[in-house]
Parts: sequence; C-alpha cells; structure tokens
Amino acid sequence: MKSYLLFIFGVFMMGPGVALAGHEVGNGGNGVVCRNGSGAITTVQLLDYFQYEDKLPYDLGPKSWTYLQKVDFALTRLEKLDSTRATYFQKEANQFTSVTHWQDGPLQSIPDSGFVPVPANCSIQQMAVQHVNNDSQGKRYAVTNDLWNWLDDDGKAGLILHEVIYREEIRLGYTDSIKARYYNAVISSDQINTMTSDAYDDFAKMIFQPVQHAGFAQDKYTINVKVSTTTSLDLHSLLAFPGVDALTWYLIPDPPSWVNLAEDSGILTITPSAANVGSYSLTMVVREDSNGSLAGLTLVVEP
Amino acid sequence: MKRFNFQSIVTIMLFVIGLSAFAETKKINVLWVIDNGDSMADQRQLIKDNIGAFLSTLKGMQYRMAVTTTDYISQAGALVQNSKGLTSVTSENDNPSGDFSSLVDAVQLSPTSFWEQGLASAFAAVKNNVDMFQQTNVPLMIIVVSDDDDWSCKANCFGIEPENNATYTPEPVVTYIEYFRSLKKSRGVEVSVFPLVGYIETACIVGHRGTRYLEVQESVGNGIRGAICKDSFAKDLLSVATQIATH
Repeated sequence: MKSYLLFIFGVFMMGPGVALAGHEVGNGGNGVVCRNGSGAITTVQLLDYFQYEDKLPYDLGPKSWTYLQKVDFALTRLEKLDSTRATYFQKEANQFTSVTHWQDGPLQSIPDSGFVPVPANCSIQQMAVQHVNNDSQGKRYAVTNDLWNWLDDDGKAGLILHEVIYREEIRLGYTDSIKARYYNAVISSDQINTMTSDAYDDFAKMIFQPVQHAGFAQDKYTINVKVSTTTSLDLHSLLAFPGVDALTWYLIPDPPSWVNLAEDSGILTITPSAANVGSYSLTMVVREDSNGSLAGLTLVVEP
Repeated sequence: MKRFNFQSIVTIMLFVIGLSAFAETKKINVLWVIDNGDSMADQRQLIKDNIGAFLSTLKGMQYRMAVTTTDYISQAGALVQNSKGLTSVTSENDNPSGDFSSLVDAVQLSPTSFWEQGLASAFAAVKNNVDMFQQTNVPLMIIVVSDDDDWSCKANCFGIEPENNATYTPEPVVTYIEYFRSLKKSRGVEVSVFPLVGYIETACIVGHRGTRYLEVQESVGNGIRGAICKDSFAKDLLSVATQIATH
C-alpha cells in the first residue's frame, strides 16, 4: 500500500520538463525571478541569498572570480570548522557541471521552498532539480539555462552550493530545502568566520539532524472489543510520522492466539471469545530500518 | 619401610603442591553484554574470530561466561541460549571457544533492539542469576560490546528511538554504579566493567559514544575501555583478556 502511494506521489512530482528516472525525490534550488511590466526578466537571484540578504549577506570573494573559484572560496572557509563536509561538498561541486542536464525551458516547479515573501513583480521559480541517484546518462541534476544564464557568478556558485548541501539533506530524509538554504547562507557569508568550533557543531547538528522516522502519535492506546466480533485496525493510523522506508510491525510479548498482527501490513485483527473477557497489556513496535517506536496497548475484551 | 616413607613423602608433597595449585586457580565469572542491533553484525563476528585468543589468555583460570543482549525491552537481561539450550560456557567445557561462538550466534536482531539498554540488561542478568554471577568472593567481569550508548529507561519507556526521544526518563547511571559496587560489600564480588564502545578518541564513527558505559567503568573501577572499531577490535579485546588475567 505504501509503495503504491509513493508511486503515485512520485508521478505527481515529476513534470514533463525533466525525466527523473529510478528512485527519485526531485527538488532543488530556486530563484527569485523579477520581471518588468511587459513580463521580461529583469533580475534573477538565488532564493537562499535573497532570503538572507539582510541578516547574512553573502561574501564569495572578488567579483572577477569565476563561480567555481567562489565555490572553492566558501568551502575553504568551511574547511576550518568542518573538513569532512567541506571535502565532500568540494568533490560534489567539482563534478556538478558534468553530471547536470543543461536544458532550455522551465523546470517543473517543486514545492519545497516553504513560504518566502517576494516583491509583487517577482516569483519563485525552479532553477534546478536533483535525483537521488544518477540517471541512465549518469546525470543527477537538471538546471534550466533560462535562469542560470541570468545569475552572476555569486549566484551560480550559490546554486551549486545549494545543490550539494541539499544532496546531504535529501539523504537524511528531507523533502524541503529550508535548512539547506539557511546553511548555504551561513557558509556563504562572513558569519562562518566568527563561529567557534562548538557553535558550528551545534549549528551543523541542527541542520543535518535526520528527519523523524515512523513514530506513534501517543505513548499508550486502549482498544475495547466485544467477544465474538472481529475488530481490525491499520496501525498506520496511529502514527504521527509515517516514516520514509518500509515498516515492520510487532507486538511484544507474543500476543494470545486471538490477536493477530501482520508484520508487513500493520493490520491488527482481534477476534476474542467469551473466554477472553478481561484486560491485556501489550507493547506495539514499529521498525523502520534501525529505528523504531514503541507504544503501550491495552486490549479490553468486553462481554 | 624406607621405600614406603619415600613414597609417602612424595605423595604428600604432590598433594600439597596440587592443593596449593588448586587454591591459587583464579575463578572468575564473565558476563558479556552484546549489542544485538543490526549495525553490530561485523563486531559479533569479530568476537567469534578472536574468542580463541581471548580464552588462551585466561588459560589456567576457572571461568564461566554467559551472554545477554542490549535489548532489555524484549529480553530483559535474559541469558542468551544456543540451539542446544546452553546458556553458559566454562573452562571445563571440551570446546569453550566453539560453545561461546554458538552463544554469540544466538545473539540476533530483535524487534526492540533499536533501544539499547546494556546497563539495565547487565543489572537484570546479575540480579536474576545469583548462582552464576554472585558467587561469594568470585570476581565478576562485565564486558560490553556496543556501537551505541546505553539508553536504559526508568519511566515512560515509549515513543521513538531513545536518542531522539525527549519524553522517556533515563535511569540514572548511578543506579548501576551503586549496585555493582554493593556486590563487593554484600557478596565479596568485585565487579569490573570493560566497555568496548565508541569514545572520543576512537578512530571510527559510531552511532553514539558509549558515555554511560564509560562512566560506570570508571566509577566501578578495575576495568579498562576498548574501542568498538573493527581495525583495533582484536587488539583491544586481547587487552581486556590480559587485564582480566592479571587482575
């Protein structure tokens, strides 16, 4: 069921502009595109830098530098606090142009920006999308030339940084770029020079904290059932977070024979007889890879 | 008559030597607390690969070893049982390495292994197996092998995995420190704790550092720490054995 729903969601996310093959999330960098009265583009700015231009003005070195020099400048600055990420981002950034589909025309808009107010004559538009895995042609990003060519070298560098940061976020289960933009703004600004090692560690921990896996909405549940009737419950309905991977369900300790839980589907079926009248305490477990969640379950069998 | 006297003297001497040798044979009990999470499969194999060297270091000692897991929720410190029903291995076994490996094989992933509670498991195992781990004046060695911290729970043990769970109440480490210390006074059992875990100097990435295990080790005394890293695991396990042998 879950796979089916994910498939439908995936089709919905994919647009005609970009062929996203295989196991995909999509998403990517956005630009704030402003137009004149006749609808012609006047400016394009990376959303990350637009959103934080007052609090975290970017500083990516001299204007004469190329965008790759500017990326290198930002990551060299980051290296002092986080050499592991700086190295990883640098490696990703170095191959960005060769693993990107450069296409004319708009990209399918993917609602991953959250709410960012822009001027009346401007709009937020998709500049890039990225795949979880490379596609059949070895590409993992798609960028629209229409907007890329409007960016200055600071903006181009910022978009590449955004994509490589967001790449790590996607792996952690994120489906929006809110934290990626904030992180990008920080490492693209002088703010990063003023951070202590401890302050940066806390900051990075917050930014790259994995998304919440499947978890029950409550700690304890009570289900009342009648003898000689069958009660079924899909335990997915008890989750606060649906998780991102396949789930497996358990009851501990092993339940009585008239209680059945399908480990894969999470369907709980209770068929008590008159001999089962009473109260039973169990613990429900949902596993998602190496994570999981527990909730108490009291079954009350009524005559 | 002379011959008889000589034989008697020799017999008595051998008896005395044998008696003193017997009296000097060190007895120890060892409780292994092995993380049964899915990220620990390689380390469990490493235990099996190195148990021969470990036991060779204990040669001449009378030991008894048993295993519990870090999954307290499902297993509550129960001793792991192999397919033949064996729950402990002694130095008198014909094949202690093989028998112990079979116990390690029986350490399997469980539904609630994501909530590691090695200290609660050790506590329960020692408390519920008095004959095995509370033998008067026999030291108890607790070896913890985990790539995560201890998340032993005191109350409201529900919700998501403990490292991201703000609502459960952890059992204070001092509970375990005091209990293990108390065994010295009450039973003459000196407890040593040997965490093979992640800590700040370890050269590998772990889920979480074994901070609470290390705190117990330092507070209870006697034991030493080792790293859970694969590259150094054999060496560190041997260091634990050496420390036990020279204790």
